[in-house]
This record gives sequence, structure tokens and C-alpha cells, in this order.
Amino acid sequence: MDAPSNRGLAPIRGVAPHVHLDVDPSDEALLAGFATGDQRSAAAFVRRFQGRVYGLALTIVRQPAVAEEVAQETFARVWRHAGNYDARKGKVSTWLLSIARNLAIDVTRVRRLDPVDPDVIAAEISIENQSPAVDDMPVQPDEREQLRAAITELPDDQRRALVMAAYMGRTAREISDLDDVPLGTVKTRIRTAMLKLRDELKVGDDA
Amino acid sequence: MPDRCAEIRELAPELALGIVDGEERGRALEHLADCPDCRRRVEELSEVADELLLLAPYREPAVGFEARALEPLRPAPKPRRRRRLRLAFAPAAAAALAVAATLLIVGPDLRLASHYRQTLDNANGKEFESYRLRAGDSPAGTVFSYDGSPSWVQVTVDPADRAGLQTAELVLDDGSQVPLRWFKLDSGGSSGGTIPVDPHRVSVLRLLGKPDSQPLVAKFSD
Repeated sequence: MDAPSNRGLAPIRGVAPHVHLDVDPSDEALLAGFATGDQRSAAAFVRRFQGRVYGLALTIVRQPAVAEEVAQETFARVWRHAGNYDARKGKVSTWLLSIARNLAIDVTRVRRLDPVDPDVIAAEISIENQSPAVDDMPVQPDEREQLRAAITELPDDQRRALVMAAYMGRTAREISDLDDVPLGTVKTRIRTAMLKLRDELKVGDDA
Repeated sequence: MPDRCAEIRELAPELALGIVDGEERGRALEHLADCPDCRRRVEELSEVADELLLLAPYREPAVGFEARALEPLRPAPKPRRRRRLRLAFAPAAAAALAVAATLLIVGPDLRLASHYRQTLDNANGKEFESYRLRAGDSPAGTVFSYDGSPSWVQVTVDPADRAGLQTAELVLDDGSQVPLRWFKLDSGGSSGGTIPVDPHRVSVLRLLGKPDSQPLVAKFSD
């Protein structure tokens, strides 16, 4: 599970970029300021993303206190490894959320938290989400709703396998064991679901 | 399409979702490094995987989160300067004493540093570190890590904490896990082997036993 690594942006620690916080800086500019230890950039960065990071962590770990720990550690990791962020491999938001997701899954396993029902997560991500607009998100709001609709239209077994993989970090083998379904069937469900979503987004792009 | 490409394309959705571990993942990454078509396919699906995470409900954390998140990131306060010793000696005697003391203290360190550098040079290594292995807050052993080609770790576990340990894994800074399949304690409580990642990317090493037992953890930042 590699998070994107960070070769596009030169190491920035120790070089304080001039971040104009009064003109709504880009995510990358805030990240660069955050990495240098600039307190205003750090506060702005955390404020911008805390709802998404905490929301994702809570979706996975289900306990507010644990979700807050995960969210705090996510920002600490981002601060320590901002120099590894590679803008060519994805947006700041997706890099950040992939770190949060991996940490949340890790905490769930280490502390042996009660497993979440994947159908509950599936229901939550299917509901329209009244989040504040955040610039620079890789999917525009209408596309996000399109993706949400596509997930809703997946057969139940495909949606369940997809959620277990994407949000719970379960391998195909683990899903096979947990749901008592042949491994090949699980792999097919995941593959079919992912290809459908990809095609749905491509169609959206073409429209 | 070569057979290997067909295999990787079957596996591409799982690679994009980050649920392929160990040797299978390593072999896939090797292929992707040399195959732009397969790489493009995995990248497309990775975008879908990224976007799935954006669908999680937006939730504001409890009041004060921002301060709590930023607190550990603030620079540590500078250590207070120690009070100067008032030397009762004449200045020349004090200077001579200081030089002698410095040589006495620093000399062995310099020799040790030189020896360390020479050892690393002989083995083409960059760094050798040790970390405390803990069971909760209690010391439980030591982990040695070597940054070289190849990089490796060696684990030694105290006798009281050896029972029931079954598996070992590295947790990287991005939260991903790398199982250490060679892990098996010998009669002296040690086990070691190569690791497929840069030790600087490792956040913790964990030794796991039975499901209800406490894992032993070595933080590589300690």
C-alpha cells in the first residue's frame, strides 16, 4: 500500500515559501508552508482538510476518539513527509486521504476494533455529502455525485467487496474468508466494480 | 498481449486499491516499472480508488482539534543553558584543564566515529541504528536496522517477551505494511533478514502473537 511518494516537489523543509494566506492559497502552497513550520500555513492546512480527514477516519474506525487520534497522526505524518509529496502522482487531498485511510486501517487491526459492517459504509458513502467546497479536489462535485450514483447501481455483492477493499483494506483472500465466497469470485467482483466506476467517470469526462 | 501483462491487468484493480501485499505486489511493481501500458491502466484505476475515499462523509472533529493537531508539530523549546561553573583556577590552568578534558572525553568518540564510518564504508552501508522494542511501556528487546544494499533488520527479544510471537511486519510512514516472512525467533530470541524498503520509510516494526496478546513495537523515530 504505497502512498504517493514525493519526488516532484523539491525538498522544501527549511525554505520558507511566501504564502499569501489572504488570497486563498492552493493546497500545494499551504503544504509547502506547513512543511517549513510556518504556523499560519499549518493552521490553514489543518482547517482546510480536517473535516475530510476526520470524516474518513471516523468512517473506518467508528469511534470519535480513535478517529481524532488517526486524524492528528495523519497531519503529523504529512508534516514530516511533505518533502516526499509528488504533485505528478496526485493531488494533495488524495495523498492526505490515502495516508489517513492507511493509518485508520492500521489502527483498526492493531487495536482489534470491532469490524464495521461494510454495508453501513456503503450506505454512508451513497448519501450526498454537504461538505464545504474545497478547491483542487480531483473530482468536481457533479462528478462525485455521478460516482456515488454508479456505486449505488452496483450489484450488492460487488459494492460490498469494493467497500471492504477500499475502506477496510481487506485483501481478496480476506474477503473470501470473511464472506465464505470463492477467491476467484471476490476478485471478479472487485475488478468488475472498479472497471464499471472507471468507465462511468470516463463517460462523464467525455460528456 | 504478453502473459505477464494479462496477469497484471487482472490484478490492476487490487493494486490500485492497495490490497496486494508481499511478493505478489513486489513482482507486479517490477513489471509496472517496465510496462507503460500496464502502468497507465493501474494509474487510471488508482484515480478511481482515490476518488472513492472522497465520498466519505465530511465530519468536523471536536472543538479544539486544530490546536491539538498542531501542538506536537511546534518546535521544541530550546534547552536552558546550564549555569557556568565558576572556575577557581587561574585562566591558563583552566584552559589547559579544558583542553585535557575535551581530549579525554572526545577522543574515544572520535575514534568510535571513525571506526563506524570505516565499517559502513567496507559494507557500502549508509547507516546503522538501534531502537528499543517495547511491550506497552516496558522494554522488551532491541531492533537493529541497517541502511545499505541490501538493507536489513535484526530483532532480539528479551526472554520474558518471546512466547507466542508468530509474525513480524514493518509499518511504513504512509501506513502501509510489509510482512517480514523470514521472522522466526531462534533459541537465543533473535531473528533477522533483509527488508525490501528504505529503513527511513519505516515508522514502526511490530511483532505479533496470538490475537489477544499485546504486540511488541519498536518505533523507528525513537
